[in-house]
Amino acid sequence: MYNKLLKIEDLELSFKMYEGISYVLKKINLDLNKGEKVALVGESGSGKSVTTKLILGLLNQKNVTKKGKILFNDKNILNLSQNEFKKIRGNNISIIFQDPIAALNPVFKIKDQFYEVNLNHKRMSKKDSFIRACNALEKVSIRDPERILESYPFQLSGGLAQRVVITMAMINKPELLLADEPSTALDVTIQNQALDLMDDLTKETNTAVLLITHNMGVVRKFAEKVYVIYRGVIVEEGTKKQLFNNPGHPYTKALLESIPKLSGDGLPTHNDNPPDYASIPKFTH
Amino acid sequence: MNIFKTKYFYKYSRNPLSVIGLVIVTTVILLALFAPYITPFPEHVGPFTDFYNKSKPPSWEYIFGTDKIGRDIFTRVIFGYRISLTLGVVVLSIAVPIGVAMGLCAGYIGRKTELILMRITDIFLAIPALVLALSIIGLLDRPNLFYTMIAVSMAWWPWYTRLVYNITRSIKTEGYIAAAEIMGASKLHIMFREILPNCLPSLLTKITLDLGFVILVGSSLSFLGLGAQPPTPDLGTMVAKGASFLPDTWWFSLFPGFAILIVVLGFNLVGDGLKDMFDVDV
Amino acid sequence: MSAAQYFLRRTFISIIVFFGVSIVIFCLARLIPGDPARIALGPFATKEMVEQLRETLHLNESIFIQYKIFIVNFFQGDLGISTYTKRPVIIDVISYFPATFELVLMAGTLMLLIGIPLGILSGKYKDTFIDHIARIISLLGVVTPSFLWAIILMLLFAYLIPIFPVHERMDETLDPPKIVTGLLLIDSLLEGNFRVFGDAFSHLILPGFALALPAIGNVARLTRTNLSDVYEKQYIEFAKSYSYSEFKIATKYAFKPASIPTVTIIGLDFAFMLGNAFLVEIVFVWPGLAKYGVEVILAKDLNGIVATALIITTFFLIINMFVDFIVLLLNPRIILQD
Repeated sequence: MYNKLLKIEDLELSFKMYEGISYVLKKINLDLNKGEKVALVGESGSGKSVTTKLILGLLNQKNVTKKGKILFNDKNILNLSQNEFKKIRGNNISIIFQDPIAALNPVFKIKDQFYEVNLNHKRMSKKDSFIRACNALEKVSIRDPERILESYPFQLSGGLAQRVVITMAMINKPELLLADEPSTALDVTIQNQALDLMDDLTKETNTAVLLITHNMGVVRKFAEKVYVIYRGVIVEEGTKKQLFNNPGHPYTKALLESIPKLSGDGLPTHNDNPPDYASIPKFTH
Repeated sequence: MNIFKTKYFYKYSRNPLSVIGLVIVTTVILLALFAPYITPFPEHVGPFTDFYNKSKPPSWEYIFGTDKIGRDIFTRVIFGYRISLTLGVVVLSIAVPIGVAMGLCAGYIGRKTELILMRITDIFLAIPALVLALSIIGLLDRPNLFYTMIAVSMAWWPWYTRLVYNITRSIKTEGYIAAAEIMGASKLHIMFREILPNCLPSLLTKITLDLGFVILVGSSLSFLGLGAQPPTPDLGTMVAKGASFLPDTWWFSLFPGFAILIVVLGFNLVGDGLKDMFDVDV
Repeated sequence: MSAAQYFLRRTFISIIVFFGVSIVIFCLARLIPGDPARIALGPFATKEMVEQLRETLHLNESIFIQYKIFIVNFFQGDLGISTYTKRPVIIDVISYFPATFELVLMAGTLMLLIGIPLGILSGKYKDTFIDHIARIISLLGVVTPSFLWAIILMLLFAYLIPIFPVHERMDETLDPPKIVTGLLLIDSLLEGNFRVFGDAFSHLILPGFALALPAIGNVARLTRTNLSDVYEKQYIEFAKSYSYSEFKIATKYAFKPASIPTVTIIGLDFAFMLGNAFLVEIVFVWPGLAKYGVEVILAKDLNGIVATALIITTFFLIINMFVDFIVLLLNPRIILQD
């Protein structure tokens, strides 16, 4: 039990809306070991992003009901106060968002944003922060780090920005990295670079990664263990090998079939009446 | 379709202020429409004097008191609403079509048309509304309500041009516009049947808010003596005439003044409610 | 493009707009029905006198020549003779403008000092008690006509609770300070004359507030909206996920992007206040350009009307350029993005 860095137990989440109550997460169970790379796969609206927000306490909507536990290093962080979260964020747990340029404040230079992240580590002067950021960027083969630090976010390309954000996320050597669709906004050719960078950095610091994605190609490249989520329910879990070689749940099969192949008969034809995946019980390897 | 059951109405009614606004506006409109039937002294609106009852403070008989020549202020205020609402409707009926047409053309046709139209708009926007309206009225021979309406319209249309121009430019590159162009739709069709409907939420919200603000500006102009002429009851004029008799006969100015406040408040609340409902930004 | 290039471009556009405005006002002035010379001289003037005045005012020339004369004179500081005050208009403008300028500056300061903090409080503590109170105040500010505020403030603080004086800029029994800038507050400070300063200030407070309240309401509401919009943005979520201090987020990382649209609105509100100065000046019998403007309008004084409208518009154009410059400082995107 104490090996597990993150253990989500029977997590439930519901919102009260005009039309009634919306159950977003229904008894989610998920765990992560130290240094393990886990993918959470599902389509838009399945509840995967919301899960990461809950881990960091970033969900601030009213009319929300939470049940269950999120154990981080055996401590339940589901209902921590904002003050308590402050110690964890940027330090023990970091997060990367989908659109790197939107994630950075457009009217401040990159160096200023590094400064704030560095402050989570320890109090330091702006000059020291600049040096620390420079070193971190150089280490990941980003050329000309001084120019980048003096730039504004809109002056960077998407790929470069994401690599900068990844560096920012890892600079304090967190135990867990949450990556919410980190490559979706990038060109296909750049996606690899970003993912490779994530791979290198997390290996070095033995950081566990919870990767949220709907792209099975990314899963195949990056993950060790996979959870498949559909409409707030985990429908399958297993190692990468198990999932790709022997998918059990029909939804997983459908996802795998939709990966474009370079050979073969092309994409499967559209199914007008997909089965109710949610009612088919979970498949565990 | 029962309008009260739609999602829009639900969202709108979540905000109690918006509902209050709607109540206020409806009340004012009804009062204005049925003014001759519900006011106690409708004959006080025309030439009428009753020096015996002049300058009486508010009482049960004269709810808002009487003015310097004995007319019931309450009646005159309700009739004053007629003038205000008429002003609002007429001004916007002129300003909105002009502004919207110019904005659509400038935004969609672009190039030289855009340059010329938007420069003209900028010029009119550079002059503060009241200054422009004052200049126009002041230069006409005798101020009256009609001139006021024209003048205020001239100051108001550029805001609609700018609003529609911005929206047009942002959706010009959308797929359905390109599709319509390829199918050979005329420019006119695209502007009025494709682009304009997208402007409707913003337009409706702005029009509602502006009804209040036009009344505000209009009352400011009549305060300066440039609106409807006596004996026609106009809220701004009533405030102005009563201002010289402060503080003793405070009811001369205060009641018409508050009447203005209430109607502008009403339209403002409704406009804000629409803004939240449509989720737009004017 | 560089900051200098942007600045030049803006100046150029402003100049074009200025000329455009002058043409519009000029044409409006020339389009009035009736003969301005006759109106000025009254019904008892003889035909010769009217004709002579028409010659002097160049009313018989074509409109292009009239405009040319007008512009040339304008830049030489000659705005014509006012048929109302019988003095050169430029003298009228110089004597009345400072009062209005001071009033608008006071109102502008109040707008910023009260409106912005009110909006920030509102936005930060959205949907709480503080927010509701602030919103009610803002709303009342926006929907109440300036002249009504003037009357209410006068009734409350000059009659009911007689703290402040009601008319004019200064007590008649005191000697005015030496005129350096024309602004009583500055001039009296320069002299070290605190008694006059205090007196002038107390005269400025009520009209300043009456003028500023609608703008305060507007600025507060917009700051609130802009701030809460920014708080929804992803870069603020990012900031929160990296434990940026709440205080820093409110005062720096959310405030700066939010202030950009706000500053633009502040510029517009100055225009609004310039226009409304008319109303407040009348109620408080403030000897300013706006009061002069209303009087020349009622007297159909062509030169006076044109000059007043043009001066006020120019003032507004300058403020707008100033606002643009501030936006430039706040938003690097404008110059750096190609």
